[in-house]
Amino acid sequence: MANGENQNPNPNPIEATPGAAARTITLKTADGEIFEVEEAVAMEFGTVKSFFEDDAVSATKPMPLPNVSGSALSRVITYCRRSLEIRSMIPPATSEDATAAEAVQGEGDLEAEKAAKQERKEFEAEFLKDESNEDVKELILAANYLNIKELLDFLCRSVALRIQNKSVEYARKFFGIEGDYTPEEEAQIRQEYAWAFEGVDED
Amino acid sequence: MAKHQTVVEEEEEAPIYGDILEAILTHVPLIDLVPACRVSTSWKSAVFSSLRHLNPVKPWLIVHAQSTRNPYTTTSHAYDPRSHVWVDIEQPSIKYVSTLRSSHSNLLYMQSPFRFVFSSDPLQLTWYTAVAPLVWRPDPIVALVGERVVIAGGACDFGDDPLAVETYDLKTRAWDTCDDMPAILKDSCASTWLSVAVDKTKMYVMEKCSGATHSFDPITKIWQGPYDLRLGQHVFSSVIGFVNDRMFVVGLVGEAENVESVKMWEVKGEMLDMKIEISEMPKELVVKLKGQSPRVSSIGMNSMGNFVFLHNPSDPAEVIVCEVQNGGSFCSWGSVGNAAVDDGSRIVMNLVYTCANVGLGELHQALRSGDRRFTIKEAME
Repeated sequence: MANGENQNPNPNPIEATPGAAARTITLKTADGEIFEVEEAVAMEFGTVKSFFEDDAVSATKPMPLPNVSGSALSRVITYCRRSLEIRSMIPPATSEDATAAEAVQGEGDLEAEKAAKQERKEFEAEFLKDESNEDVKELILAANYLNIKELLDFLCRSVALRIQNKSVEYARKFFGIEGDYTPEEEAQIRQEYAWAFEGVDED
Repeated sequence: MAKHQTVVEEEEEAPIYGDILEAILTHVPLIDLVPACRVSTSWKSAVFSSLRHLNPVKPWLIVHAQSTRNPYTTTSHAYDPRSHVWVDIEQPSIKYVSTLRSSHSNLLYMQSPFRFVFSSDPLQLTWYTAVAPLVWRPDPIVALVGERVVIAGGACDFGDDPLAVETYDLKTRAWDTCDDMPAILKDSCASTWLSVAVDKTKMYVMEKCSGATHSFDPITKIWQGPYDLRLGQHVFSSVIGFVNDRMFVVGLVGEAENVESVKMWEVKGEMLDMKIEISEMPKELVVKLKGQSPRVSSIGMNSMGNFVFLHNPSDPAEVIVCEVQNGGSFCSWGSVGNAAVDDGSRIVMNLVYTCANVGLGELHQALRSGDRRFTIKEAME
C-alpha cells in the first residue's frame, strides 16, 4: 500500500501513452507527501487522467497536487480502490442476442448487482463514520479538485444528510459561516422560524 | 451597526461555496432548503441557483388519509420526486364535514346537506366554506374552473333531477342553476364512473369505461361533445388529466381481470380528434400497479406540471410515477411505495389524492402560518 511513505521520486518509469504497461503513477501532495498509486486508481481522478493524456507531459516526475493534503489523498485513494473493487463485482453487460444460457447469466448479474449495491452501501457508511465535519469538507474539496464524480456525489449526499433536519445554527457551524443578514432581518427570521433554530434533531 | 462580513475564512476552515455548495444542495430535500435560505445571503443565492439549474422543484403527490371513525382525523403524506422522499405533514384537523373527496388533481372538498367546503391551494392552507347547493347529491362531479365551482349530476333519483348542474361563483359567493347535463350521461353521472379534468376555461368529463367525453364551460354554460377519446377498442377503462396544459389520457388495455398494458396518449385538436400515443407503462410496473387485487376496474390519475402519478384504487400500495420529458418524446417511469398505506394495521382509511406545485414560496407560507410541520419519513425500501 503506497500510503504516505516517503519514497524516492520516480521509482517506476511511466510511459506517456495511457493504457500502456505502466503500473503506478506518482503523486505529490501540497504538504510534500509522495504517493504511488496504481494506474487504474489514479485514472479515476479526472484531473490526473487529463494530465497524463497530454502527450507532451513527461511521466517521470511526480504529478503535483497543490490543493490536496496527504491525509485527504490517502482517504481518496482508499475510496477509489474500494470503489473499483466493488464495480468489478458486476460482470460486464450481456450481449444483445441472449441465448437461454445468457438469460440465466442475466439473473446472476442481477444478483451480483444487488450484492455490489449492498457492499457499496456498507462501505460508504463505514467510510465516513469517524470523519469529523472538517475532514468531510476537506474531502469534498479534494474530490472536487481531483474531479472524481462518484466520490464527490457520495460526499455531497452525505453532507446533505448531515445538515438535513437540523437548525440554521448547525448549518452555519458545520460550514464555518457567519450569517450576514442584518440584525433586524435576523430577528425576523428567528421569529418566523423558531422551529428552524431550535433544531428538530439534536446537533 | 456594521453588517457582518460574508464568509470569514480562516486557514483551518475549509470554505465551501459556489459550485460545490450548489451540488450539495441538490441532495437536500425541499423542506430543508427553507432553513438553508436563512443561513446567509450567499446560501440563499446558492439555493435558488441550485434549484434553477441543477435539481429543480418537482410536483408533489399528496395522499390525504381520512379515518373512517370519529373524529375522522386526516393525516397527509406527500411524495417529493425531486428528493425521492415522503414527507409527513402535520396540520390542524380539517374540520369534519363529511367524507373527504378530491377532483382533477388539485381540488379537495367535502359536502353535507348544509355546507360545501373546498380547498385548491397546493398545501390546503385555505378552505372555503359555502352554503350547500340547492340539490343534494351524494356523489356528484365537482370541479373548480377558474373562479367557479361546478357541481353536476350525482343526485338521488327520488324526485331530484339526476342531471342537475349548478355553479358557484367565488366572487359573488352565490350558486347559480344551469341547464341539465347531456342526457347521455344519465346512467353514469356519478364521480365513480366519470373522470374529471379542468383547464383554464372548461371542465372535461370522461366516462371511464367508454372514453366518451364532454366539456362544460361554466361561464357560457354550454356543454359540448361527446368526443370519443379512446385510443383503440381494447382500452376498457380510461381517465383524463392535463400534463403541462396538454390533455393526456391514460388507458387500461385488456380487461379488468387481466390488464395487459397501460398506455398514455395525448389528445389534440378543436374536436379532440387527434390522438398521439406518448408512452406505455413498463411491464414490471403494471405488475406493481395490479398489486394484490384480482381486478383493476379503473385507475387513479393525478397530474401536475410534467408529472403523472397513477395508482390502483383497489390496491394502492404502489404509486406509479411518470415524468414526461422533452414534450413527450421521452417518459421516465418509476414506482414508489405508498406511505399512506400501512401494511401493519388494518385500519380502513379513506385515501384521497391531490397533486401540487410546492415550491419554497408555498413551504414558506405554510411554515409562517405556524400550524404546519413537515417531517421527512424514514426511508421506505
